[in-house]
Amino acid sequence: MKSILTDVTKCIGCNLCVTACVEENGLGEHVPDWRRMNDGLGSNRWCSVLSVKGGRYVRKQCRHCLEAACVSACIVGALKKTPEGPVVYDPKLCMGCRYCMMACPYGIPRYNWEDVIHYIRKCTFCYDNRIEKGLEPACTEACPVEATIYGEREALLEEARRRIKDHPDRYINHIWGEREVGGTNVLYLSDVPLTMLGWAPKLSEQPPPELTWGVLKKVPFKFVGMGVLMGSIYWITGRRRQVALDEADRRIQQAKDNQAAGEPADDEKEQS
Amino acid sequence: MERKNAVKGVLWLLTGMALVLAVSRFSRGLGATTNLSDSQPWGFWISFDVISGVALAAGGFVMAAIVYIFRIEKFKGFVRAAVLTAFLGYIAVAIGLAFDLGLPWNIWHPMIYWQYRSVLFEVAMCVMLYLTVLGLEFAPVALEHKLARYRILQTIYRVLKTLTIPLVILGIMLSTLHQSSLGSLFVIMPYRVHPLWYSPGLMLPIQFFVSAVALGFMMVILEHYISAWIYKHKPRTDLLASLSIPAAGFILLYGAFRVGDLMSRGILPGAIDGSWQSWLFIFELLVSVGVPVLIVALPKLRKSGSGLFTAALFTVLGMILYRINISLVTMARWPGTSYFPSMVEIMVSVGIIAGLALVFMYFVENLQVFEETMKQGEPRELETAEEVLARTEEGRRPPRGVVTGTVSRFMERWFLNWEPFQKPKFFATTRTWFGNPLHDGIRRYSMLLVVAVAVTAAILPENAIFGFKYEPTPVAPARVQISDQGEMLLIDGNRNGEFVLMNHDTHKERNGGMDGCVNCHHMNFPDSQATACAACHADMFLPSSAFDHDRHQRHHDGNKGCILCHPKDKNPDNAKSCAACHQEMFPGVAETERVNFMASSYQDAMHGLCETCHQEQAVERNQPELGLCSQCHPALE
Repeated sequence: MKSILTDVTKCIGCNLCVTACVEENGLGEHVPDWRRMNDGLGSNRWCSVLSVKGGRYVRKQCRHCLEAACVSACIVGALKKTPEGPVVYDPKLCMGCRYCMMACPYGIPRYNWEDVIHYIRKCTFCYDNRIEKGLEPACTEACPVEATIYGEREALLEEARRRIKDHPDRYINHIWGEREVGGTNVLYLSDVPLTMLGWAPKLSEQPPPELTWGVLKKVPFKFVGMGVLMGSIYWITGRRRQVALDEADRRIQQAKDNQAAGEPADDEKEQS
Repeated sequence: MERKNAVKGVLWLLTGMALVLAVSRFSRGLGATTNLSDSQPWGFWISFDVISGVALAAGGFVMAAIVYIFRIEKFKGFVRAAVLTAFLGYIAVAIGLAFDLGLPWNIWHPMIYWQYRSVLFEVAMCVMLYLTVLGLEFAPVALEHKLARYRILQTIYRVLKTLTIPLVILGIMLSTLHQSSLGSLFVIMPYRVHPLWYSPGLMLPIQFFVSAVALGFMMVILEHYISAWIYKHKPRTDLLASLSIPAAGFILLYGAFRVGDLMSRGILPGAIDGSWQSWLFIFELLVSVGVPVLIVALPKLRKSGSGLFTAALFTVLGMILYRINISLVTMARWPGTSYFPSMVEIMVSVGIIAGLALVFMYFVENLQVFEETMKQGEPRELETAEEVLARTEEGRRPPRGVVTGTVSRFMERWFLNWEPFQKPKFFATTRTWFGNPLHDGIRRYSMLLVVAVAVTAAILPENAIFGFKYEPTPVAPARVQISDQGEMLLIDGNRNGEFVLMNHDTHKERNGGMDGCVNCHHMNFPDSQATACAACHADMFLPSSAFDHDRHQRHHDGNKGCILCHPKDKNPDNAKSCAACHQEMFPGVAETERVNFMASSYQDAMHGLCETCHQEQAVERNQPELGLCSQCHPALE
């Protein structure tokens, strides 16, 4: 799996990764607007550099989760996890329901609200234009200080562990993205807590698609169970009615027989 | 005016408004018409039209189950209306969804491109199938109409009648799935839904299903009272009161699940900690569970029409509130952002309901929807003129009471007696009506529709007419400050009053002394020593025109002055150049060809001036801090 490792302590906040991303993907002008979260991301900004407390700069981009919530949420499979790792989007399938935007634990997918026809937009890991040709993404290539580097996920995790081991005083002993939400392909090393990247300060290690699947796998049983339940209630109520009708018929028949025999009917007998 | 016609008039008005808004939404996009944002991607249309709408249509499967599966046949009279409400309700859901989708023409994609790991996929499939089932369940009612007397249609009618039970069971199975799965939609958002509403695992789907069943019962009651009011029927409070008991049972069950779930996860204290969410939680439970259960528990209240109506209304409002709370109100948003539905969102939702209510009324008046109250096949007797007049007088008698009486007398005098609304006169000898043609229903309603369209078009917000526009973000003009370091220019880069320092002297030096002035001061306005950047770069982020057309027009006496600049056609291409009149503004610049050039945005201009050199120097001198934003923006340090 192809991955990116961003070392927050090395970033100088020069925004060259953003510029490279804009040029590579032809993203055009970006005007901050109240419709966009004020984290610099938008339908035409797929990565941004946040200035955080402690004088650090944190690059925000799609995390390309190993088990992505957006991929499992997408109703038509427009978002796909490629074997190389990137999560990519097919605008031809999309119907614009925005469930992926709701599902993403990092709030990454964005919408081009300013247009008339709306698509989901997010970082593609430069999948179509670079990864498939064996190149590295534009952002990692542009970084002048190698704060954000590209490689195989295992190799990058090794590298991250090595850095923490070599400089235990420099980093918080945690690799962001190693385990959260089931692991992500974009990893972070930092000396400040990166709680601002997700919807919650602490994300659980359980991948969100598992939460849904736990409910969804019970659906066939619910479906069949309800059918069987309703069918049997229908049969029982029908049977009870039939018994009641038979009983009434029998009584009427008996009354008629009794009358024919010149004896008083059951009711009259009871009264007397 | 008859009550049902007045109701129809209002519904036509609302529908007309929604029609205009529909044009605006589909031609201008979601950004221009709604208040949705990246922070709040699901808004009122999803929360109310779709998630609440599906639950409001639960009466169809609940009543079908009671009458056909449990065979409690005294409720048979409610089934058709409930199924029709459900059918139209699901159509409303589909229309609401089409408004909300970014690519509504792809709405059929889930049928082809299956993604069975998505809850939304399951909901979509079930809703589509159930809409078909509801159509088939309701079709026999339509096929009873005398226009459907063809043999083929009657064959279909008989087939559908024999299929009633399988269809009902299939409908219940599909409803169970998607009513509960609407809750499962939120299982994937553990970090966004508030803990008082979120629950992992099967709790959310169960709560959604149980509340939908309760809502189904109460919607039948509510809908019966409303149609009884419109059509002046006597409501069957006796029957409905017995229907409210199982409803209360399901409401209690729902309440127990809500509270029990919080208790089992140990966050019940969060419901009384005084945060606004906890108050909302308590209020919601009071409306959806407390009030209705209390009313149903007291036989005296339950058996009175108004009591039962109140119980049904509170349940419906409460369960809608539950769905809006979980999907909208308590959903986590990015700090500093908020959401309230725009006029377009609210009016479209109302308009969809109004339009389908009209369809409902049409069906009620032309088909045998209320089985008990309308007898089929009896030819309606011709009324005599006296009867008609008596009925008309009856209908026109002003209501009693000070306020209603005054209002209705006022309406009678000034509005209804206005010629277009006057009642036509009946001539008994010829048995014909004479009068103003506007009294004819179609004409009256189409007039209302036109009025609605006109009024809505007039009050549309600017964006909804002209398309999405960024709100301009103005910048303050630069200020000059003399300090011991020389002349410093203060530039409000963040347009928040925090100025960026720019050393004027060093810039002058670097730009080649006095010859370089024009690099920055490219337009020397009269009496201006240092033209503010904002004079041309009028917006922080957007390119803007440096030429103020209105000001020039005013200066040259309005339209009289056009010819001074536009000798031929009035377009920017053949206008006189600025330098033709203002030589003094362009020292050293011979000619400026066009006046309609766009000055780059303030940010681009500033960054373009400083950033390039800063970054070059950072590399050249090996001083990376020169390239940092904080070099010029000390606040970012």
